[in-house]
Amino acid sequence: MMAIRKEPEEPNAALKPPRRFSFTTVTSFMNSIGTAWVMVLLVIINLDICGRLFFNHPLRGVPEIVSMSIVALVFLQIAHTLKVGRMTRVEILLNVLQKKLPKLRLFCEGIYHIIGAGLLVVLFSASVPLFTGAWNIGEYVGAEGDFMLPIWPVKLIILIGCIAGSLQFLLIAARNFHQMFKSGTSGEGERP
Amino acid sequence: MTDIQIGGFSIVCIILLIYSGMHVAVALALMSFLGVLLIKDNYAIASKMMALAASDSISGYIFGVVPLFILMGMFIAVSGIGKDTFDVANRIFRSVRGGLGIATVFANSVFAAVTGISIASAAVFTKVAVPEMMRLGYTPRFSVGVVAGSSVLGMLIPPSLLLILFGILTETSIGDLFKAGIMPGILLAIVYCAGILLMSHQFPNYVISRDTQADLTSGPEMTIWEALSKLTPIVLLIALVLGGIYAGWFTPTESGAVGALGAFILAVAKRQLTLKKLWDVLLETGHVTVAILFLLIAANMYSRMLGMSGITGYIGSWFGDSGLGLYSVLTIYLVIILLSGTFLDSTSIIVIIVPLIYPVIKELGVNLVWFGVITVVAIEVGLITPPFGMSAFVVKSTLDDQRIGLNEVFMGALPYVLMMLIVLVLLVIFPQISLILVR
Repeated sequence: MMAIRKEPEEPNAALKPPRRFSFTTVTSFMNSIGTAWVMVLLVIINLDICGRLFFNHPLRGVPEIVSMSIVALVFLQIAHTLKVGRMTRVEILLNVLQKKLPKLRLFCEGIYHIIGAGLLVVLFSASVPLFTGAWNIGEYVGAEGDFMLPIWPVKLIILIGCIAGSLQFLLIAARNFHQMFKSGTSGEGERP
Repeated sequence: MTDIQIGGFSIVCIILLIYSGMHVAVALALMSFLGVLLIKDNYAIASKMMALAASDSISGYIFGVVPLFILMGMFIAVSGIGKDTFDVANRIFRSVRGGLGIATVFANSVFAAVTGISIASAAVFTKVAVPEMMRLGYTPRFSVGVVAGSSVLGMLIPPSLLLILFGILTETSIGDLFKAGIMPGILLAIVYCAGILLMSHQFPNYVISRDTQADLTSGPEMTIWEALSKLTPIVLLIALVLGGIYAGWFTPTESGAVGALGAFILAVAKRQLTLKKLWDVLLETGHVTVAILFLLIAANMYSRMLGMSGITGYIGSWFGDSGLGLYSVLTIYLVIILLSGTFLDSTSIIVIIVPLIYPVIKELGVNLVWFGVITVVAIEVGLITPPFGMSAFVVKSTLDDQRIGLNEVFMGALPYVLMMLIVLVLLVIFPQISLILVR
């Protein structure tokens, strides 16, 4: 659904892979998994409660699954949340700039987004050992012989989420700078 | 620079960066990373700190409360229960002068017991209550003011997102915080009602713009059975969620799951949930959840940085040496929060200030549950104070009537700011109000 939404910024298309399998498809797909997963959590926690209250037999491993899912949810959906502009920010000053110096606003936003991308790259590089560590020693949560859940998938999702989030930050930054230069030329033309 | 100076400098930078429009989480993560880099002079430690915060800080069963309570609030918002509650309250209070205002406060309090975000309350009641009040001749300023003012109940009466965040940041029991939020919420609602009565008797022109006594007593009749059938679902849901926590049947996460399921069933039973709407609700839940949890990850980096800089210890000893009593310390703290509330949003304030100050407060032997409640009430004042008041923004953007400006909303909410401050002072002086239901 989100995947087929057309980007208003056609000139930016050059920055992205071809439409068929675009970056947007990937982030939307990741977002959809995360979105549906919340419903899964809702169901398994309720099953756990029902099992405990009525059959005196709780579902094994629900707390472990929930704990790990929360981290996974964040990194699955981070790129899309960024894309739709839902990350928390305060825009009072930016809105003032918008009226007076629209180009400066775009410039600031571009810089902020590049910083965001950079931080996620640092996070990615520092998270790689956590993934390889979990993979190599077969780290798990739960109790041996009872319920065991390997933790490497979550660490992998963190890595994927960092890449996707970082690319998304860069895409937005590219758009900011693009608009800045575009409005720069047209803006100067309009001025007396 | 000493470590403490680095810590202090980072805090100033964070505030400046946030105010100039950087994403709150990015600003926190950036300055924490740079802060640790400077303090330890070691890239490996600084980047490892970030990785650990990302993979460990929100990995826990308790973090399930965030998406589940948000989901519950979203289901409730689309289910049309807000309107039902308002209709019943309207019927009960309509013979009172200013009755619709009181009805709005009452309906908001009930609604608040099943939703944890004030913006949800603000959006729902702007749609439901404002047109009705305007139709019956209430002034626009009063109508939008009462909706903005009473929307803060959404995050005070449990479940409350801010109480959840406070609990996570300070490792305080979320169940206890929820119990402690109940009485202050009821108190605030009562003060609001008293204020509305006072305004409509002392300043009738402020409340009602034309003589509409005839209209006030008319309106659709409602039998007691209709009223009961409209209220029963929400009362059952409240009993299940809050009763479940209070009686100790459920952990907060479980009550979130039970509540979300209940709200889902309600929305389906009231035929308000199409497949498309369900997906939209889930998408919205996902985005809100991710924004908050990502902020929590960044806040965890920030508190790690604060810990390494030793600044919290410095503030603690500064307070000790200054000879200020607990109340002076609290007053300074609350004033800082109130001032921040005018230009920062509520989640940012809580993640910036609480990690900084709670070790100090804990050291003084203060009850953290009570401290959490007064923190949340002080932060919530910021929801309706200009220039940055989230609830007022939501009211404005949800309004169909474009003649009512943002200023009108802020002016209308002003009496409620005063009433909130009165309640805040009462809560500080009498901790029993918050703590009576805890234990």
